[in-house]
Amino acid sequence: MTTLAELAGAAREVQAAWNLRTTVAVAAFAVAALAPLVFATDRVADLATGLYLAAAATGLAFGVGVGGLPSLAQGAFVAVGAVTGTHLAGTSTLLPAIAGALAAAAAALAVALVCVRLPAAGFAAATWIVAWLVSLGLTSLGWFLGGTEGRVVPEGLSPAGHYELALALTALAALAFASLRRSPFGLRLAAARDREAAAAALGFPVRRLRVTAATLGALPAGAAGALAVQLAGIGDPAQYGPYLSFKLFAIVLIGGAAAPLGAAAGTIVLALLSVAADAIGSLENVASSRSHALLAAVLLLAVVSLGWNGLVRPGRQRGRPAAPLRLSEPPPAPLTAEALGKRYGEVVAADAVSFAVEPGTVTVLVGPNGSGKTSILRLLAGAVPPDAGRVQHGGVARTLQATATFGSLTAVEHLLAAGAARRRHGGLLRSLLQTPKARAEDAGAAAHARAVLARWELPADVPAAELPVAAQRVLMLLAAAATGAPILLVDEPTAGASPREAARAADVIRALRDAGHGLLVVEHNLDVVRTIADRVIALDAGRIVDTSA
Amino acid sequence: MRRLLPALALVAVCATACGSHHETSRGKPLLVVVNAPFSKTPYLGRTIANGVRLAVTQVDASGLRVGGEQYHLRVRTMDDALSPARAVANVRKAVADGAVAIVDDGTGVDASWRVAATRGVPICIVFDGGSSLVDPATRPNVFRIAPTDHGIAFRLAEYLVPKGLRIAILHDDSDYGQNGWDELRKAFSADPRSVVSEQTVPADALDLAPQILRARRARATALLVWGRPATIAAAITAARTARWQVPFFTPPTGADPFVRQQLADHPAWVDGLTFAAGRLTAEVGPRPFESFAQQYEHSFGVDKVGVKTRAGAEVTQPPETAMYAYDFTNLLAAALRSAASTDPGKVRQALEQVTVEGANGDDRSFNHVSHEGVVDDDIYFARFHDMTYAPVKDDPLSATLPTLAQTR
Repeated sequence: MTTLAELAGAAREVQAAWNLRTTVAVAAFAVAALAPLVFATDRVADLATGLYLAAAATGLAFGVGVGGLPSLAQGAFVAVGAVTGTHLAGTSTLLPAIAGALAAAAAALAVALVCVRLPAAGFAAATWIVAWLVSLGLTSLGWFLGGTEGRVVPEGLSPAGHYELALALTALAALAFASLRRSPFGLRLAAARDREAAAAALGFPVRRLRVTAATLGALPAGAAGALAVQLAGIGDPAQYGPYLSFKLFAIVLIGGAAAPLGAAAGTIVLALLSVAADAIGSLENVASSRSHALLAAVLLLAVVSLGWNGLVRPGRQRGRPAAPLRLSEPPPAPLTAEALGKRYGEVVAADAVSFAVEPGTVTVLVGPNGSGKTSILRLLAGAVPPDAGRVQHGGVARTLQATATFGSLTAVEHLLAAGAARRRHGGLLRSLLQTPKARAEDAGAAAHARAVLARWELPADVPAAELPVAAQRVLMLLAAAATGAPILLVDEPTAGASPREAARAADVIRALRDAGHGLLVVEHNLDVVRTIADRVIALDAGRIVDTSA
Repeated sequence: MRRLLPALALVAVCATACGSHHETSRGKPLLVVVNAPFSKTPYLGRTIANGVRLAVTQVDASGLRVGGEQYHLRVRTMDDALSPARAVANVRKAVADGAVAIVDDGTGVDASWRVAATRGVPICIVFDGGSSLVDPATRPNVFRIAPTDHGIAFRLAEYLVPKGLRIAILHDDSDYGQNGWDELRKAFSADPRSVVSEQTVPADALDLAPQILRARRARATALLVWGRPATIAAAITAARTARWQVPFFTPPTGADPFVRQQLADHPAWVDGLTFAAGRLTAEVGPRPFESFAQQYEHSFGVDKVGVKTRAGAEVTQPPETAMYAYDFTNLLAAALRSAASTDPGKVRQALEQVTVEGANGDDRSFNHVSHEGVVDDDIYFARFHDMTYAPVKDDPLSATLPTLAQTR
């Protein structure tokens, strides 16, 4: 009975969230499912191959669009799936696909662990090298796919069967993309993509999020590789050269990396391009395989140079009406710093600094530029290790000196991302499966976040980049509080603000103090200091020179 | 609108009339697909397609009546780019488009025969000599008109072992190279001491100096290189650059124009290169092949190698692979007539019954126990001198063969 009620509830939610975009997508998939009734076997096989490509590209799009990981090794992960699929072919249809997906995910995990610390350009270059290495390995080591001769796999599903399977895999990959993108995991990942330092300051595990995203993105690639090799009837190393990775990347950029159906749209564009390439090739007597690569490269160049965001843009998720859910708060805990010391060469940033910040109080650090205020915040947050002394706390969140919001996330998404660590049912698997508890918690958390934003008159559904600077600073204060950390480290919340904006920021700080947070604020504006401070600590050359209540 | 309708009807009638006239003059079309590596080894792809086209022109000119109906053959080329997966996809498309036969270089046939077999479409290999490719019992729709690797390897062993040479074998890691090595291993198993070194080299390697050095250190007195033309050219370059005047022996790829093009700056390096291939001339003499070559040149022009002899004459390439493709297409036409049906399955069965005179004057045929159109005994040896080749004189079969004209 409970299950039926939950299903009915889920159906109502789907109905409520239904829009034109959903109608078009569902209609397109429904029509697409009928293709085997219309087209000849060879055309159905071509379409199935294209759909497997779309599924692999959807996995890549998640990494590129949500995680900001420009991987050029997705073709290599397809190849890993193909190798696994080739060796397990004949057992069943789905077992090789599952094994291929897991093998590709394991390979992606290994690559990500090594490459994820690199900047975007370095990540792209490193993964491109991986694509080459895998290609060379497949060609030179016959065990994988039989060398240049290929490895024949036993007959399995018909092309029509593969087509339906490929369509289902593509749809599943797109649904998983959509679920994960708006999950706590996806929001934190997107935040880290937009501004890594700010995400780290809020306590997001940036590296782990990226490694997970890269690993998840390889799952559909591996499954697609394993199934495509069954469709082709032969594992052929020539199919898994670096061009495949380039092609998948082109598909993602052309179709739109941030939308679940962007990769499918990109695949259609590239397929149309292939038809054009064949026509041009036949006219000019050029091998069509060469003109395919040429046209894809020209199109990608155009997309990149014009800064185009792709054919399909992500739609905004509408909030589901629900009672605000206040997430569990950690117990109040003070922050204590004991004899902290830090040097940068000859410069002393902190010299035997000791103080405590109690919950429900505001402590303000003042001092001239270069006196060590921000350095002490960084030491307290654990962003840099101290040379001496120790720090104890029950959890801190920090806001940065610069205005540092996550530009593509809305205000409500900021608070949801920040509160992700406090969610009980917001884990990866629950989010992926959209379990009733996860959905209920999603809705409750969103309602609570909207209520908080409404209190401070911040628009909930506007991307943060479009908010005024002062509003962005308030938003980051609220995001820091949403992490649930008992101690908030706030760096110059009123820098560049007008008197009215500064007064508003001070209101927020006092409200957070009244809510039980302990705040350590670096501030230059003495008017603001007077209105918020319970205690003032004056610093000079890294030393505490005065403390006043 | 009322005025437009009669005009549209008139256009439609004219179009129908034109279409029916087209069909009555040439008959219904029957599709023959050429699945070959046009982008990767253009010479091979082009010659196979040209051989088929020449035969098709002649078959259509003489009329193709099948079961009381008039037909004409239509040729479609598909590029497999030496990729097995693409070759399979091409065959799937050819079968779906109703091809009556597929002429293939052999790439991916291990998997594509199954796709073609679903409708009984015959595949004829005209280049790849891999032993496992053709087996009438398990792959009834696969035929071959080309020298087999087995035949070439055994003839090479038969030719080289009595000379007392210490042979170093180099083969590349392409399917052609791997299959060749498999057959060479069997062929030299009777006298394994004659092989002093065996190495696998990457098919796309540009510098084979280390491998050549290793062969030299094994005190080899002959190099047998089995691989793609690029591998052979690279091996010769590495040996001659090291001033090692070792004799080279190769399978038919040694005669590929690419080898001479690569070595065009050093014509002397090509001198002495000996290759094994299916003989182009028949017992009746060179006249039938020369006649075929003239027809080929008339239709497609001379296949220029792109190099010249020392006297400045342009070197041309005899259309060997084209001959095999030509012969199969004629066999196909004969099978269509014999089967009195265009059903691929019946045509396949008829292919085992019919015989035609090949381009070189030999009879070409298959039967239910052998789908090989070139017998192993027909392998001969030729040696290059001054960028052209001539049959060797120290092999009984080769010594009886005439030298074909290869210059203009």
